[in-house]
Amino acid sequence: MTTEAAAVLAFPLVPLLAAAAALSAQVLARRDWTKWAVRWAAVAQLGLAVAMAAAVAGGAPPLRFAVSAMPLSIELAFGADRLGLCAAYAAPLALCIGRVDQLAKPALRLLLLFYMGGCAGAVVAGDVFNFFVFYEVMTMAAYVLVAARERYYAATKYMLFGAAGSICLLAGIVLVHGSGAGLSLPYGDAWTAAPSVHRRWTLHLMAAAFLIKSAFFPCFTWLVSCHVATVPVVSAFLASFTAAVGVWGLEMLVVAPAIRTGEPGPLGWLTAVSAMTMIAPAVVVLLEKNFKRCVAGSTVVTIGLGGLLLARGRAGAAMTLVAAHGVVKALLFHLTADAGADGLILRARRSTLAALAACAWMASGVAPAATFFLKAPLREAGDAWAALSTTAALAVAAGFWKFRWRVDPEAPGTALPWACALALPAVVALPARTAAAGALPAALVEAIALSVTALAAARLRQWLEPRDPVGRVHRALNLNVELLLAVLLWLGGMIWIVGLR
Amino acid sequence: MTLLIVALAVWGLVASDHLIRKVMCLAMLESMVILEFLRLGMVEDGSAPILGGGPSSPMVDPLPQALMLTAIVIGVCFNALAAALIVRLRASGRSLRASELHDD
Repeated sequence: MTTEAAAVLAFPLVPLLAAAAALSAQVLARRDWTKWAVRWAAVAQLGLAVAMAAAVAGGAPPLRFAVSAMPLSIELAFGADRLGLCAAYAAPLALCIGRVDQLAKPALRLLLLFYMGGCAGAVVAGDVFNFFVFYEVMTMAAYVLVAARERYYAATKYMLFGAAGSICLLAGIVLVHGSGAGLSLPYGDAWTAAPSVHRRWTLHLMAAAFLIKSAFFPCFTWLVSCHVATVPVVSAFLASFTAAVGVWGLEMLVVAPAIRTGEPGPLGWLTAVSAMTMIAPAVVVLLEKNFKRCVAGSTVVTIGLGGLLLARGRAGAAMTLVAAHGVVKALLFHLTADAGADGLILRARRSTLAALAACAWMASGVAPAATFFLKAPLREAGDAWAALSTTAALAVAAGFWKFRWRVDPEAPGTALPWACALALPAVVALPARTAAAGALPAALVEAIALSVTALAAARLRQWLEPRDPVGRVHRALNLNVELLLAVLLWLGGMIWIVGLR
Repeated sequence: MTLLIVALAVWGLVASDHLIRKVMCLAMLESMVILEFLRLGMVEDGSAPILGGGPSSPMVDPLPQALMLTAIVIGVCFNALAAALIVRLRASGRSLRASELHDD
């Protein structure tokens, strides 16, 4: 076994072994080593991630590692196409090292280790069933982590949507295997040669799985509920990794196979759903009075953007966008722990507010943020797409600016703003090569629109203070309606992708 | 039959108001997917997939069986976790009717 293959194998095993060691220490020696287990596992995984990234950088072939020599053995793999996914996992991982105390009980920290194992396994899964198993390990742990602060309803909602998505994914796997193509990632040649209706059903079920699991419209409410319910350590993982794994899964299991086999249905469906995923949550962010919900809504807008980029065949840009967004969002969620919100007033230390403002700007994707330049392929696709992306970005920016940002010297202060100062240049460096000269006129137009938006945000605040339009919608929606919307999404996809024949 | 049960489960998922019924409908859906996968590996009059010295009749495909064992374990975990969360939800004084539940 080569060193690189050993790194791929160790990547998901490290947190699971750390969990086993911490659990043994607790049972046998009655010592709580869970905090150190999380920290040690996170540091080790970050080292492994750097080693794996270095091994596949520069056009090197992907690393593949079969667990046994038997045919159809479990495979682990890591290639350049997974670097964005790995970055989206590494950002919240790095931040959880210093803030693992937010999970107050040892059992929750053990669950975080299982969650980390699931995430890492999904990053290096070499076949589709392996990916399903690791994804389930991740979500099972996440259900309990979301419920940690006695927010059982948010966890139950996440669990119902997660299970519905898992069933679609499992059914898709059944169809992939049924075509005789095995379970490899990407699908084998036998799947490409399968009858068109078989391929369409596969693509439909896989698309439905990721659209539901990754909080696309209209199934995004669970993500917003979970972000508000849980601690920033978990919110950061949900915002960063959930978005990235959804976009990556859509690319690997839906978009790339659809393009390869010339099936236009999934791309059209993804375009329609992604456009709605950008607009509907952007309106929610604009009118929402809870800051954490605004942050969560901006995550959903980015997921929609990622979906649109995928549907335009720009997988690399989509993954870079969600990875950069993951870094920003992980920082943003951790910073909200140092800020106090009272209605539309946000109080924090000056350094925290400055870092929050920078991260909120990046999250909105308004020029000249680095995330603005990552949307270049969408602007190149035509004026309508450019207008859509700009409208969503400005709505998110106005949603953040409508809060009154107040300096509070008594607020808790940490070194996190300085971590932001270190991290943000790295985020800016990510899209440097995509910041083509052609994007500059668009940036100028957006800067002018931004000035108007800033004025509109102040008026919006005055209008919103006595009202709560989003709260009324929240109260009108219930789980029955939300599940009905998910079923309608599934049925709509079936009609669009498979057809009525 | 598979399609009928899937349709019933989807209908139950949307139409039943009680959380436990929703979880049961999801379990039904998952069971149907598992059965369908097992059916794919079935061979009429096939023997058990054990290599060496067995009967000469064709063997059933062992891969779906192995994979679905894993899926069944995941399903059991999901059901147990769902039941635990619903019990906690009830103990916290909340209703189990989906139409009466809203975010905290």
